[in-house]
Amino acid sequence: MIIPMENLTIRSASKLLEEKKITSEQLTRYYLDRIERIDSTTNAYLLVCKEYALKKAKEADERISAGKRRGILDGIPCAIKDLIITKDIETTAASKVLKGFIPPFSATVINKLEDAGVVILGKTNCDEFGMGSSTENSAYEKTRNPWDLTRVPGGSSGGSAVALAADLCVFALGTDTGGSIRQPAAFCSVTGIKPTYGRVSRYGAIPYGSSLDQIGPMGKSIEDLAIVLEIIGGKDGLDSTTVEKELKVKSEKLKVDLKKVKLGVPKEYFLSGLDEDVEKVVKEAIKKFEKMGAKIEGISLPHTEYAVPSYYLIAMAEISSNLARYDGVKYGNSAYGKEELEVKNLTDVYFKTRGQYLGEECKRKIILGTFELSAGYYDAYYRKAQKARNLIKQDFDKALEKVDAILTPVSPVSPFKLGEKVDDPLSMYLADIYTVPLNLAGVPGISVPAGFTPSDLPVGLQIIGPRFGEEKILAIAKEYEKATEWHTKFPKI
Amino acid sequence: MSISEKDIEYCAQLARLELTNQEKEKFLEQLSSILGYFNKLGELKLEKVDPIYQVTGQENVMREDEVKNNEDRDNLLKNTPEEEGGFIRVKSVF
Repeated sequence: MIIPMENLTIRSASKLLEEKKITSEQLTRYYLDRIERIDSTTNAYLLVCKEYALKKAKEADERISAGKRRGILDGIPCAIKDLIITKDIETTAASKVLKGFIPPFSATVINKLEDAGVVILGKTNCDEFGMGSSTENSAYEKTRNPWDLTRVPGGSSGGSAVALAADLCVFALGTDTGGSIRQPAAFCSVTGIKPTYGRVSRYGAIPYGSSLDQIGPMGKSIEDLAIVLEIIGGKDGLDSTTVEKELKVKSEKLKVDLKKVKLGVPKEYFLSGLDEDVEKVVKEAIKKFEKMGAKIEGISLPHTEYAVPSYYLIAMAEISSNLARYDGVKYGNSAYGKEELEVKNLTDVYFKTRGQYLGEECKRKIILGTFELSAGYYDAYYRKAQKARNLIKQDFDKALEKVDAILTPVSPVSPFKLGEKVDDPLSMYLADIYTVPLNLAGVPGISVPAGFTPSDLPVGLQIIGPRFGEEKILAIAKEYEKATEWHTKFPKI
Repeated sequence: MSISEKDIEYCAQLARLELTNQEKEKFLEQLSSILGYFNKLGELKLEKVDPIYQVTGQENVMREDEVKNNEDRDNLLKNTPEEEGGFIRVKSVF
């Protein structure tokens, strides 16, 4: 008898494995086959590690047969954003400057997941070094939204979001610096969480904005996020920004009485600039919470309009420093030995490696980041941005003393057409208005599917919590998920 | 405040980044408009506000000064473009 394996979550896949109705190898092959048949259209994956995946799947099956299954994640196939390093599996950050780079070690989160027994299917496409909101800045492929193949999947974790929506894995990892987990999750009608800054180790996450980045899970259900977050979170000696805080609530116990919950709706997130169709869906979702008994309260986050300039000034400064390491000397693609580049001396190695192999958005950010940090401009731009950051953080601290969580749209627009915003970087940046404040403040946020526009394009609802309040917002999100059916809808592909 | 062509060239120099003339032209327009938008921060009264650089609230996370060497050199050097006898080979600095 053929057991259906469509659109499985970690919970449902794990049950089938436990009951020995399927093996990890069968499940892995199911995804490998689908990737082969479908992914030339969607381009979610940059690399599929077929042999490695089957090897891990067989090892999991041996453990399961021997009654030694390691836990709920043992034997579960997943996709990893190519911004997270995986030992012996090529990791490119979707950039030409890391073409052929084979990491000599894995990120902490990868080690944790592999200890739990996951099967890594491959590395997913993203914007180069995480820079972008559409995955169009990848130096390799164009990833397409499976809900409408002429549209973007969002970014920068677009590949991971598509791998979930198109059923090419059970769960995925993404990274989020300014919305890169939440926005593609919203655009593809899947779910994702940006954890509190300091919750998950960044060791092995190729850095974009070191004071902003977080690795986080993406999945087909809220419970799946909790399951993965429990495993990947925690203090790590290799990342001194991690904080000792356990996810206290176990994933099976995600429950909250909404009648005792106060949810804030910030007026600054519902001004002009928010697409009508998106606003309608989000307001419906908020009404749903009200019908379920939660108290909805209007709040203010007064410095919201300064979040985009503050965020980008900080992110550009940090990335211009973080990209300095790609010099063609220690590792990565290099101008060395490339006759056509006429490398005569060491300076040429630097200039030409970086000129040839870094993408356009990288260069824009390097130039602006360098400019704002240079003598004479530091106070006018960077220092101002860090002060504005403090005010934005305080907005959240104050608001979250009065309400349990905050509800907002994830994006002011629904998935736009491929090519629509590539020539207008500022317009692309402005579309991050609802997501960047959380990275500035370090607070956690979930994007949960909330419905569709009249043209059948996905819309997400953002649920923001206090620092280390993941269990609270996951529980709130779970109640919404239980009461709606958005998470059961998948595109026909 | 805005950015000039000279600024772009100077920054490219500092960042060891070779730009084509087309890139410089494109960037002049794009970066000027982006920076123009960032000037919005000038609307805020920030004299009495402290800057913050990280949001964990932690200070001075230390560890013992012990050598912990788990990596083997060959493994670490396998991605090096020019390698010789366990060293990274570079073009002469002087």
